[in-house]
Amino acid sequence: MKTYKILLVLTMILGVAYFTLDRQLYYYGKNDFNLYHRLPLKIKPEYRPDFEDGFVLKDKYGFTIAAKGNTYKFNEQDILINEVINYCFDAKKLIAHVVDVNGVKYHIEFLSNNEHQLKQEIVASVRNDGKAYSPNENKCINIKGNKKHIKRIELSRNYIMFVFTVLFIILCYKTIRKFKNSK
Amino acid sequence: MENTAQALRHYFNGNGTPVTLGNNTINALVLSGDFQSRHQRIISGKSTSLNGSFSVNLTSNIFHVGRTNVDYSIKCVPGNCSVTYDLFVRDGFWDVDFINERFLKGAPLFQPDGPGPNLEMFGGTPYPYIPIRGTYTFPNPGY
Repeated sequence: MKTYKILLVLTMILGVAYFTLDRQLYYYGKNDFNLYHRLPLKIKPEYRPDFEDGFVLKDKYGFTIAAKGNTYKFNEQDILINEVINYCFDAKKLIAHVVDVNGVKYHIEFLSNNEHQLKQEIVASVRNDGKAYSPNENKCINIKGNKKHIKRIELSRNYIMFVFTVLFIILCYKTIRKFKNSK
Repeated sequence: MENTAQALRHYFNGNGTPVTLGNNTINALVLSGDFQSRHQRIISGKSTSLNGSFSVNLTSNIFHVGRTNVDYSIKCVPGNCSVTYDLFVRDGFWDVDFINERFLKGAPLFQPDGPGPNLEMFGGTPYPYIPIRGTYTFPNPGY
């Protein structure tokens, strides 16, 4: 009975630890479960190095809005994004810090569309002066300079998942046995 | 190439040469609900970026393709716009060991790496799909 209780508590603790780490990984697009909607405008981070050249931000319809290959107008010129460095957000807007194919840094601000003549739900405005970007006011997620830390969290999450699964199976087995013995 | 058996044969005997996917596979992608809903958003002026990509999951129809990429590029002249799609872009038959990918991801040897050596099985050689390009013209909805 005591072993059973310890096993139950341990499984629950591991379950909570798993979801805590998975929630952290959501910001880097590496979450296992799609339970978290924590970015404004229903923007979703994704990480798929084998398909989409790494980290991307997508809108709720699945279109990439900040990713390698996206273009936006800036001073009547097209800028072609090469890489997303980091992003910051508050309740209403998200600002992606990107580098274009020429190595120039830009901030792209994504806001909800309030202009009726435009049909887009999200409008993007590009700056390269840093004015839209205030890491002190917004929550910021560092994508490029944080790779080791992300990998550590990811590995811990996966090991916890493995131990959790083993304990869960043992727990189910013990529960069934307990139930049969009580009959 | 139209089915998973052909895809597997090419994985073991094709020496990594790129393949063109057949008409049934192309139709499965273009006529899928995922693709059509994105296409409707593009031609009604609702795309935030004029160039970008989206992915379409074909696992239930064409297992060997699974989730694939579509790049799009919208260009407008007064009155009309056209959208060019590149289907199956940056995609191929690779990283076939999806079980280890699922449970051991994060470990360096089990990171999906496209045509690289990780997650390949039984001596097979990964190969890319040749992208298919298509263009559609539509009245400018306000881009």
